[in-house]
Amino acid sequence: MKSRVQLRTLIFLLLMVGLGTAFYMHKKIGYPFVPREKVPVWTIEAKVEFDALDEPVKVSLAIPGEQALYGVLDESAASDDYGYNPGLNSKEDVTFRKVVWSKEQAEGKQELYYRVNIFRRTQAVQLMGDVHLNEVDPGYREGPLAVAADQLIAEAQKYSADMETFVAHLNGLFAKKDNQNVQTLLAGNTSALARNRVLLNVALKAGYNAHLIRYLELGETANRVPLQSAVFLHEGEQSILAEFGRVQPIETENLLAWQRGGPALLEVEGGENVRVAFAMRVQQLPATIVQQSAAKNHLASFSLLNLSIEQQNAYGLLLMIPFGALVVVLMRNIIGVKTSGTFMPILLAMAFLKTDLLPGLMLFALVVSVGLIVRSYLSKLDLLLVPRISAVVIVVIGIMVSFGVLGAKFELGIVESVTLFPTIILAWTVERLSILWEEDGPSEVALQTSGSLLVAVIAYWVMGNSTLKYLVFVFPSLLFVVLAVILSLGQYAGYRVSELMRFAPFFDDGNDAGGKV
Amino acid sequence: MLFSPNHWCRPSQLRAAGILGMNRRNGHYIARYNRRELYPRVDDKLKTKLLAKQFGLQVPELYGVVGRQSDVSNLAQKLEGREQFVIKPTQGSAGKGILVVTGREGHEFLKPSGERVVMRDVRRHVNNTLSGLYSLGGRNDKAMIEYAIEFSDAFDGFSYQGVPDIRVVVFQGFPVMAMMRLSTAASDGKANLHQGAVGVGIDLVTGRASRAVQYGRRVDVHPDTGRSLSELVVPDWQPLMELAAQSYEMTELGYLGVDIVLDKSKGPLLLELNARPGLAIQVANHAGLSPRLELIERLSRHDRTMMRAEGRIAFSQEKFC
Repeated sequence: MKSRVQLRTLIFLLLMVGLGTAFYMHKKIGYPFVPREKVPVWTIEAKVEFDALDEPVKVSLAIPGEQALYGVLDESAASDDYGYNPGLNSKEDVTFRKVVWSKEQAEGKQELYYRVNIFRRTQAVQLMGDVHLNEVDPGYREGPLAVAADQLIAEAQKYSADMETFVAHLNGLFAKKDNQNVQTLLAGNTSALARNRVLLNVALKAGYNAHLIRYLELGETANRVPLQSAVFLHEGEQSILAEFGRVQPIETENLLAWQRGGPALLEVEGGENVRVAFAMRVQQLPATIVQQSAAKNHLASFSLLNLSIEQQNAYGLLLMIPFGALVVVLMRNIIGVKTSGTFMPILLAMAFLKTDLLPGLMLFALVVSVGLIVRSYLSKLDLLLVPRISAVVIVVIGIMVSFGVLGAKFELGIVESVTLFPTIILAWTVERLSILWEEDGPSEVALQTSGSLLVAVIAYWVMGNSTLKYLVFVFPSLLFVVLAVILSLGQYAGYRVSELMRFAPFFDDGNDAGGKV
Repeated sequence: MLFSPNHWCRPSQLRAAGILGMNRRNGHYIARYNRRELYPRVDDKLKTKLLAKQFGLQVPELYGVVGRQSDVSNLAQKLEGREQFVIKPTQGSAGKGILVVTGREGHEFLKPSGERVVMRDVRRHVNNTLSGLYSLGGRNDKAMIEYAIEFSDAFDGFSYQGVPDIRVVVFQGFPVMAMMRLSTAASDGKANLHQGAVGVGIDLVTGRASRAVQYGRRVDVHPDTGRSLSELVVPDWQPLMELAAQSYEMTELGYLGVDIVLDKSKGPLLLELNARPGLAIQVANHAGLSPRLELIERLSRHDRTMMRAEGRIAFSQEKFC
């Protein structure tokens, strides 16, 4: 009985500490218990590739700064043994930022990464001053280009009342390919960027305050996001983003200006075949967390919120494991579902969180069935247990790799989800199931696999629940509450739900049940 | 089907019948009465056998042990002159990895199913055993060669292949419930109730069958041989009960499953012990374990510890019939 009192006291203390701390943080720091408002956060990765020429290398890449609708949460530039100069401001203005990598000597193919987390502000801020980022090209000052531009400007101005209508008319003229002046201006300029430069120069020559913008469209998670260009014009309160030959101005709502004005997006000394590609990943985070992170608020300095987004992601998953454990306890001890291994369902759920549920289940079915078929073949070859299981694991890795290669070949979205982590978990699962097959036969494998999968799917739902994720991330002390619940379930000595079915035949024929002692 | 009311019962029914559930068995009886460090005494069959010898309990005679891969080469020498024998892993579970040889013909070994194997197969079986193929968690293991039981004529027609054994649940040295396990074609000759063996509840006083179940449902005849199970009587019942009850002193495990076989000439032999005996015995006997266990728990400590095996058996036979 003494241990029971101890346990009760412990449970009570854990509940008090867990709930008390959470409540204190809520009151004192003001973290809401329910994440009412969520803002998207984009992780954008710029990958710079080039062939180094065996001489000193210096790479500078223009990077985005603070913008009216979007802010920079944090950034990093991962590149092995390169000196790295973060976020150099070439002028006072935040709109000009670049990152510089340098190395004494490099040879062969080089890859440099710049990663930035961008969040959407809940309220737009005014940032753009009256800046003059671009000047008219010398070529447009006199000569045939100047004449052609002047004639187009005159024609457009004849029918326009303000900047917006002027740009619309000008682009209307540009759209006419047979116009003599347009042909003069376009001579040899086929790329979208070159054409937008033409638009920029004409707009500047017409006396408007304009500059070139390279932007990314912020959307869904994607591996290749094109960097597009446009011309930004502003006059007093009014501003528009225009594209060569397009009458309607571009909606700026979902655009992230990567570079404004500026000479070049990317400058590489000591390298050739330079390429830059952009990848994007979007996630929804509670507004409060993002704001705290953005402001690097001191109140948050004792919480997980001042870690980088990547670290936060890692801890976010880690903190959900106790909930998975709770699901396992409930399913095994209260419901009575048979699973293979106590924590295999949690690991499976974590793998599913990485791959998403449906691809994860498909992958599981494929890998496990092929793995078990290989196992049954190998067992005919008279191999000892450990070499046999090891062989199965290698085959599983092979399946996963070919899955990835095929996925990459046919551009399936699944390829990036098959990472090291699920691979290890699935390989290990096949190992366990093989042993189970050897020990208890196929029917037990079927029973325990379906049980494990059921628990894993429920754990996946619980561990992927965004409200729960938010709560435990902002109030980690709630884990004490989970611990208290698990401890109190540990005392449960009643019947399992499955036993209500197992022992049902006992009462079938209405015999003298319970009459015997 | 699954959700029809016939397939379910209410917790109150289970409580009224005194059915012991898995959670209570684990949390109350096994955790409290079975000390962890004593488990090797039952999980390692070689240890069990040696210990039983010290306590003078009857076990199948040990012919030899193969402990290392290098010993496998002189296996033939060890089996020299043995017409009948059993090879089993010392840490196997649920009857896995047991090779029974009932006779020899030239260089061939005969299995009870009539199948013939050669020395090469026996060696491979021992190799697999040593590498842990049949053992809990795949640990390296040893192989025991022991006396092959000639089972008593009393069970003719009650078993399809395999040796029928008697499981007695012993709590604090008191036999509380007994069941006979008969292998069937469905159970592949194994005496495992999950796999379809028939469980027969046995009266603690007389050794007579009280009722029988297969897959949790009542049966009256053996599904393969058609013999009426109510005719089943276990001979040598009193010595068998003594063997079960004395296993408590030997293992010091409070909640114990004792598996006993009846040999034609040697009588009851202790086959193996289990520190986590299953709950199906309740269905076979159509009685719950809880009231019996609680009755013993209510005995004073003095009564419990001072009683000898005979006294405990007498107590059980008086109260639990």
